Amino acid sequence: MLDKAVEIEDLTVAYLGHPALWDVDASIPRGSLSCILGPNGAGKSTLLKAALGLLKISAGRIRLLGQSIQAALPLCSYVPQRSGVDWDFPITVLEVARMGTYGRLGLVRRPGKKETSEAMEALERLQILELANRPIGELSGGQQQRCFLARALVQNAELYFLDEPFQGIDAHSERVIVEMLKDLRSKGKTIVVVHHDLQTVKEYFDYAILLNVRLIDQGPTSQVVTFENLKITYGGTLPFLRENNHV
Amino acid sequence: MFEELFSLWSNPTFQNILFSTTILGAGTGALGCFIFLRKESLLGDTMSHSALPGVVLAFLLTLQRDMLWLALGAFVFSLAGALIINYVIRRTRVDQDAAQAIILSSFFALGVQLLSWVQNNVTANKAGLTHYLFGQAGALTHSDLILIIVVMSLIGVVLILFWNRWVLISFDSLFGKSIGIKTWLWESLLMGIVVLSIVIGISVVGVVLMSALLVAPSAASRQWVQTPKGMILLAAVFGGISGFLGTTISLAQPQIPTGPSIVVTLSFFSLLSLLLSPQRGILARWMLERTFQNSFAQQRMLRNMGRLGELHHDLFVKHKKTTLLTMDDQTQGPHQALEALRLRGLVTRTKENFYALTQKGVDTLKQGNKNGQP
Repeated sequence: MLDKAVEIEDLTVAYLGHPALWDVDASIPRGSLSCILGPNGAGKSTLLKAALGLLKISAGRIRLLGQSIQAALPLCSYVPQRSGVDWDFPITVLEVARMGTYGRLGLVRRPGKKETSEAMEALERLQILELANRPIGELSGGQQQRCFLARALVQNAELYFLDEPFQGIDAHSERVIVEMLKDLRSKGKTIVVVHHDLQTVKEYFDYAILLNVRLIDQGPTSQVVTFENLKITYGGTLPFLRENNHV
Repeated sequence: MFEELFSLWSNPTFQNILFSTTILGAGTGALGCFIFLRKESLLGDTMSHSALPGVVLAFLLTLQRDMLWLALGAFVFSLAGALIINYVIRRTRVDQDAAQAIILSSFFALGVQLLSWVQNNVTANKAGLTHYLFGQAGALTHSDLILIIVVMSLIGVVLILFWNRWVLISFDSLFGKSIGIKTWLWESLLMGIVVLSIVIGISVVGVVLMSALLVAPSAASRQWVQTPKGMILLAAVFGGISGFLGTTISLAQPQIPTGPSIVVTLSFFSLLSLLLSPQRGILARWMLERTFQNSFAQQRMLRNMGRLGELHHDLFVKHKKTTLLTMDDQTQGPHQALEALRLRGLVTRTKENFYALTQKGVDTLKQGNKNGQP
């Protein structure tokens, strides 16, 4: 676990002069299933996007898999927030999954038989194969998320970044996705998830970064997801968790 | 009538115009799908309106109505309009729609001002400049047709060749960026070919109506199909047919200008699609809703009759219609529900105009109580 998949040093990101991330030093161990925790506006999604070079950073250095972002990008997969796209877009589930191959197809090649069967395989793993030819507008929230994850699987990456994959989805979808993530971990891949639900943190993840614009703490979940740390991260909004012994 | 049409279509001058508007309509219709899907429909409108000051300034600089120079002026100003909008959105807190509205009206106002100044102060060669407001298809020559064919084929090739990229930047640009695609480059290229099509189009339909050519076909086509490929093909068909029909109408009735005629034809297709398409159409949705409400009203009516029957210790007891109607606290058609139940054989009407459950009605009711719904 000494090997780092993500190394972030002195990262600062600001929007119109307002800091979203301030001087963050963080790292993610290779082969871990990690989460980024923090309240709304803590900069969780920003950290993910910055790590992939999707936005301009004000200061700092980022290395992925020991390389520059540019060099590591083909080995990375990013699952954006579900709310970021128009689900009324006229496209089928299969076509979305096939987008996972666009990165390696190059400028003008279209997905062929091989790419289609890869996409079908991913859809099957996420148990939405029967929806392959449906327009994405007909999917439920959980199915939409699984569709996005199928696209990520097709990318066949080493390092996965998922932005709030459990937001607003059904219990079955959540189980399927968690299973898939654990399966990826067992194959030595590294997964970084922006997460909201404190109740499931220890069950799902082995490493955590606690964030509220600044880094609060990071380390194995059993050590850093403590009531004291969460109180600092979230402010005074957490008493119910201690009562229920979730922390 | 057909003979008239035929002689119209076989006239070589008219053929130039017809082919030009058909190809223009098909090309801009296809291209417009990506603007529509990227939710930038107003951007097309802004860019075409922004072209006007460019056209007039190009004329003022050259004092000639040379198509190439005017097009260059239009190109520069359209692009400037689009770039300013992008800058405003990125650098300020002004939203996209507000930015577009501001740029559209200011560039257009500037264009109209310049245009009236030219009308009053320049004597030579100015005729026809005002046609850039609403277009003048009648002036299309054979070389214009060639130009339109060349530009539209070029746009078609670019659309087909880089298909993956256009779908990516329209559906999920952030994901595109994450797989290393330079989305800004493709977005700029898309904007570039949109401007190119606008520059060609405004001489035919004018800056005011140009955006309809880009947006209306895709809006209509989206109603019918569920894939990007299908959508673009159908949009091209809608655009092409509208170009052809609209031009035919205006050629047959010369007092009707071509540009507006094409746009009205397009609007007709759009309206028809909004109304009649099988899944997304207003009519289909209305009927679906009615069916739902109807079946709910029937369920309520059956349940109410059952409750009344239980009170009388006789499920087959006869009820006055007014009693049944007042028992339903919803306004959605208890009367129709009663009739529908009668037609389904669940309820019978006696000679005295009383209503009672039939054996089938009672069975359905009991079955429904078991399953949670009748």
